[in-house]
Amino acid sequence: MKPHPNFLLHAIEAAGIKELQPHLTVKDLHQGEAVADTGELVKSVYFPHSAVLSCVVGLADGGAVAGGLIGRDGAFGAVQALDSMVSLNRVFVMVPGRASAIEAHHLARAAEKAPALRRIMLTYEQYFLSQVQQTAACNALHEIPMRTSRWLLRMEQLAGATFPLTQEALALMMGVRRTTVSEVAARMQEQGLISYHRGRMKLVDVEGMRKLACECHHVLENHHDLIFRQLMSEIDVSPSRLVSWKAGTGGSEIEH
Amino acid sequence: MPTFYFHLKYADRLSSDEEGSNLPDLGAARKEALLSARELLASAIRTGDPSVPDSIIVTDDKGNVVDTLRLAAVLPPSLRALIGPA
Repeated sequence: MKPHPNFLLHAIEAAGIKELQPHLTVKDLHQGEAVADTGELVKSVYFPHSAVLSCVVGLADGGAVAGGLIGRDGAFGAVQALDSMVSLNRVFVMVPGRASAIEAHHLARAAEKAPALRRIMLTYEQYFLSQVQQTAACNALHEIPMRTSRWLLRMEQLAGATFPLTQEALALMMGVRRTTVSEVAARMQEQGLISYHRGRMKLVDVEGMRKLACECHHVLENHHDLIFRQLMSEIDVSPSRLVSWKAGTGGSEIEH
Repeated sequence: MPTFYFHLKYADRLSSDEEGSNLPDLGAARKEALLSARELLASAIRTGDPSVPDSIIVTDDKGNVVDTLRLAAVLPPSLRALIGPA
């Protein structure tokens, strides 16, 4: 059987948790759509299949930068839903696509019945926090071409090798001006690493991109593996399910 | 809002902007060019990259050049004086 396109729902299925299933609906999320805003109560939780969400930290002078990306290896709003919390950032759809959605109160009730579900959500929250911490260090110390490469690899991991992306959205994610992104992308294109035309990004040479990127992408891949392997052994799910999810999803099968 | 395009001119080539930015007016486009020039130059200096554009050419949606900004013009005045007149 094909694994669920969302890693957390795959882990939930593997753990034999059935409480969410009746309440999940599949939605198409559109580019630019906000799924949460600063100070708003989180009403719905999203488990992306092919959509990519960006959590944006806005500043007083109009500048903004992404704290983290949420895609098919995670969920937006799960921990907030467990305890009726508000979102502290604006979260918008960066790459359009599908997601499973559930109303927050259904998730909270299911987590009361199934402690393993709560563990899965808290483990993901730990991974998301590590993503934000890594991003803080990366933004402070790594140069723009390395950071651009790192974010594009993260997008490729979540959205496949070809995805819609405007320079403006990439600039917003990195907290730089669009012209800077345009200059770096033009150079990557000349080197044969990417192909970018009218809002469509294609990663042509993923290995080349990995060489150009800082270590942050690789570090986060390892964090994800480490904490979910540990979790799976604790909730009696074989860690091979993590491997089978990675092998059975992603790549060219992701459609937008 | 009108669309402005920010093309990068190098000594030997032009890297054209296909996407453009929607900005309220020419004043906002000039400011965007200035902030972009500062960022491009700062990044090039930090990485020691010799391949830096020498100017940003701003065009409107009809292709008319509405502003040209040399990157050297954003250096602090004391440094600009050392490298000679713009």
